[in-house]
Amino acid sequence: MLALADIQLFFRNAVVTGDVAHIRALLSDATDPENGLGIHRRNYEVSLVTALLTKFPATVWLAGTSFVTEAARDFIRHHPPQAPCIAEYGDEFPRFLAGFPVPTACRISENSRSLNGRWDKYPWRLRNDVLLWRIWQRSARTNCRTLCCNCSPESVIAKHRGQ
Amino acid sequence: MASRIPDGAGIGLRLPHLSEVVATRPDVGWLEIHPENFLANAHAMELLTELSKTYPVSVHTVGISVGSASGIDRLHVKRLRKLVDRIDPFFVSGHLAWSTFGVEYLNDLLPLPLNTETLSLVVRNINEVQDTLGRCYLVENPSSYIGFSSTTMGEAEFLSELVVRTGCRLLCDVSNAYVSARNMAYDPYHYIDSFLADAIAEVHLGGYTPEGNLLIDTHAAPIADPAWDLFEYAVRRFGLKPTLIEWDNEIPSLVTLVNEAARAEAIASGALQPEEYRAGAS
Repeated sequence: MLALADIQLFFRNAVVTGDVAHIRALLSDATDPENGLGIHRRNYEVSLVTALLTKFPATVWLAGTSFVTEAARDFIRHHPPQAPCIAEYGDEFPRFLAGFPVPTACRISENSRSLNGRWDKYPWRLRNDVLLWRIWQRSARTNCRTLCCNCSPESVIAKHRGQ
Repeated sequence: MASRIPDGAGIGLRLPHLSEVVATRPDVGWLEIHPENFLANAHAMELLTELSKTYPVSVHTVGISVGSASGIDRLHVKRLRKLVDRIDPFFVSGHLAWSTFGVEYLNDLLPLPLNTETLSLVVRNINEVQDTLGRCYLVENPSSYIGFSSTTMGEAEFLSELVVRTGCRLLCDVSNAYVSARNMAYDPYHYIDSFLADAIAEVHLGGYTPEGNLLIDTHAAPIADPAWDLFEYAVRRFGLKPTLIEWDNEIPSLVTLVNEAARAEAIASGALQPEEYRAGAS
């Protein structure tokens, strides 16, 4: 009999990466194993993508839901959470996003212009998010990603402010 | 020492309702929280601390992975201990499931093969949780969508063994019992009969969503009639226990939750003889 640790490795791969080949052989055929695995995979993906979209509302607003959703799906496959407080998850997402080309179809310019002069109207979380987005946008445009790739979000913001 | 154990029904305190609950103090017997929502939110924690002076609180964690082969997340259990010390809940509970894989947290309640190897592991992990928290831990029956060929024990038998070997108690999620029984093709009433009734400390009820040939434990809908019927049967078998209305997705108005809690209390009182109900509520 396979050890529980191995079963959980196979299950983890099914949930995070969609690789069901190994775990499928360990499941009972009495029920509907494919659908059952699909439920767990979807629970993982939907809950975490929703958490990221909630955490970075301005990025969603500027870049569009479909673009950020796809990026978030990719992010959670490569960077599963490391703690159960999901509100704390995703601090690395802006740096991960820096590796994506700026989407051509989004309304970055239009929405960026509409933000001008309205910073005081946004709560801190949103201002922080918009700032990260602008830095990412500039980094991606100039192909110089050192700000986003080598620094924590906090230090990125500090550098942006010239501190 | 844990605060008094309430009778009757409570509601899940979710962040969208937090300020309304603080402002209006709805007439419910108790509140349940997921500590993971409060540990990462200092303001919410302040409000919860205030509410815990008025309402009995039950802490229901989704972050303690007692089924993980790699062991529990000790850092998280220590954070949980601080919250427990602060609000003094009447119960602390979690699930017969696993979520942690090494350093990764997979954010779902994943199923376990039920056999002697798993039993030894879960016993070890529950003992560590109870030692760290300094109190009894309640273990909840999960909702199941798949089975393992290496399972050799029934779920109720497995839970009973946990009680015997660790001194933990049980949380019977009646809706999970119904969902699992439908999905895994067994009789939910027989499952309730198999539960170690003396070990039941709390009962949960939540909404599920049909999808294809499965029922999904979404907590995104009103409690369905078959679950209410099974709840009435469970009350007759277990007696009056603190009962939670769970609604975590597509969260309705606070009034809707309060009404569902009132319905649970009405069904419980109808299921018991008046003297049994008064004895349970005293």
